[in-house]
Amino acid sequence: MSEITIDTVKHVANLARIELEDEKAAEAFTKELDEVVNYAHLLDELDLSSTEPMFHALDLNNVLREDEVAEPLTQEEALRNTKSTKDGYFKVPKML
Amino acid sequence: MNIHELTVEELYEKIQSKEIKPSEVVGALFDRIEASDETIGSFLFVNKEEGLKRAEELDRLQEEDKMDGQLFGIPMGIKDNICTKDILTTCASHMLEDFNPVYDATVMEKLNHENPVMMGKQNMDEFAMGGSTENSYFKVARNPWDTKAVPGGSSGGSAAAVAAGYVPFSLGSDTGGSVRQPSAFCGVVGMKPTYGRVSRYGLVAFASSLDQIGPITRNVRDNAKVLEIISGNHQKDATSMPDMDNTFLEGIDADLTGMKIALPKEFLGEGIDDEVSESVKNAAKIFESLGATVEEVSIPHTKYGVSAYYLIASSEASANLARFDGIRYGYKAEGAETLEEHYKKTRSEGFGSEVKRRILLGTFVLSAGHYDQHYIRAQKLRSLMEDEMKELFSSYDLIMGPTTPTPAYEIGEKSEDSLKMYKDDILTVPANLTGMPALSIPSGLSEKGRPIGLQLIGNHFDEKKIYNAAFKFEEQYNLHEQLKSLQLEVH
Repeated sequence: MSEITIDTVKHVANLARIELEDEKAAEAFTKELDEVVNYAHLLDELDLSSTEPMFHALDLNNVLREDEVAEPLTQEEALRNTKSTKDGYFKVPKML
Repeated sequence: MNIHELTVEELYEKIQSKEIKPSEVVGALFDRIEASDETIGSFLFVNKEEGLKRAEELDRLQEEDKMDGQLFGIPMGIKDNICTKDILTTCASHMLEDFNPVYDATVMEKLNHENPVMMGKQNMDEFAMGGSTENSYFKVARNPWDTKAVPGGSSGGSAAAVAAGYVPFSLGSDTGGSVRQPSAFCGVVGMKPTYGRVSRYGLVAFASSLDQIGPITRNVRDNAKVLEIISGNHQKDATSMPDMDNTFLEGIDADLTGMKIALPKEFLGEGIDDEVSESVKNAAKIFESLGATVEEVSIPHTKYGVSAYYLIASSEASANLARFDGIRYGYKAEGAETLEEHYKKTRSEGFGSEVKRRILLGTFVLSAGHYDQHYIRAQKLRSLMEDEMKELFSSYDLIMGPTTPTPAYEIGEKSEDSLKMYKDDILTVPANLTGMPALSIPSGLSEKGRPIGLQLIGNHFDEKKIYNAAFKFEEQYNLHEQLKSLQLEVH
């Protein structure tokens, strides 16, 4: 059974805000993702019921710092790499 | 004396003793880059104007005997996913083609404090996704040992530049092998430090729980020296560890008598080239001749590493790359009328196909109904693998094996089959999944004359042991003379 269908890929692409060029591109991604996900099913043969997931390589603790005033980026620096500004803000297309 | 053949330490001596000026070093290397990098393709940006200017400033300090800094006058190259203030940082992507960082990565601050000279930014697979540098948006990079072959990746430009004698050292980043594999393919030394040893602040994030920055050099001592400099905590990376001992050179030549090295049989199993296996067995004999003992062991979960790695790395990538929205920085598509259309057009036009493939995979893995089945199981595998390796480290000092299943392959040979290329990461992903340090060092040449890499993996924060073993090994076997006599074919 194939877990990844062309509809799955289209759904996921929409979630990731990526537009697939055409039907052919969608088919190609479907085939490739299906191969990788099938390969990943190798993990199914393991009994992992009593194993804890490990989200990070090291035991991490919260890192806290004093709440002190520091120099942030200037407005000019923050806007240096944008393509579209207005009155010192980032300008975006209409949301609604 | 050929300047391009000199190591970091040799250059440092010659500059400190005023035998050569920083501008002579830097000038000679820019000439070399200009003469042949059009073929090798290791640089995306050559910092010639500023680099020469900086070298002349250092010349004056040299005259005045003010040669401060452990890298005074030493040229360096930096992978193009490490932020360099006022120098473009593209990640080899159309998405960041004109991105000009407003701050330096922590590693750049630390390096710059030692007065090196920035030679330029190096080619890579787009957003560090790939193992051949064929996924660069700008150009393919080639292996200096054989320009028909890939240099590896994703830090392929960095490893190729060090092998080609363009820079004595470079920084790469390693998420699943991206420092070690190209170092193996190019016959140089590459280290992926313990997760948390080096601050990731300013490294464009691919998979945050796996990424580490590491040095690429021509010998082991240089590598240890550069890691000493770039290590250390930064308050803007909460995963970087404070208060560590970051000295690696002291005791690097200690005798190996009594050292215990584990050689997992899975690392020489199915899919590993015979000549690679032979080279590793030969390396085991060298370690034994140096007084170490080498014993065959087993890491049964090795074969699941690639599956877990691609599920986790892609998931983290899909979240990390959500920031590329065409608003605050990066590529912006024209003509979108709504915000959603703007996102979709920008991301579809800005990302290359391997990056899209990983974002789609990661989004799938994290989506409703698949999270527990895929993502959580992959994270559980990580625990099992760590338990197995920790168990080994209770009786052994190091784990050894090959860095890659094969030496460098032909350009174009695997680029159409992503799964095949993913499977090649089987030997390098365990160190990333478990956060352990691992180094690749040359251990032989294939019949075709391409380098073979030996991998040494240590327990968390055991870089010192790795460098010690690698240094003693290097005294017995190295490619230093071959690197010096590499003839770069100019096309």
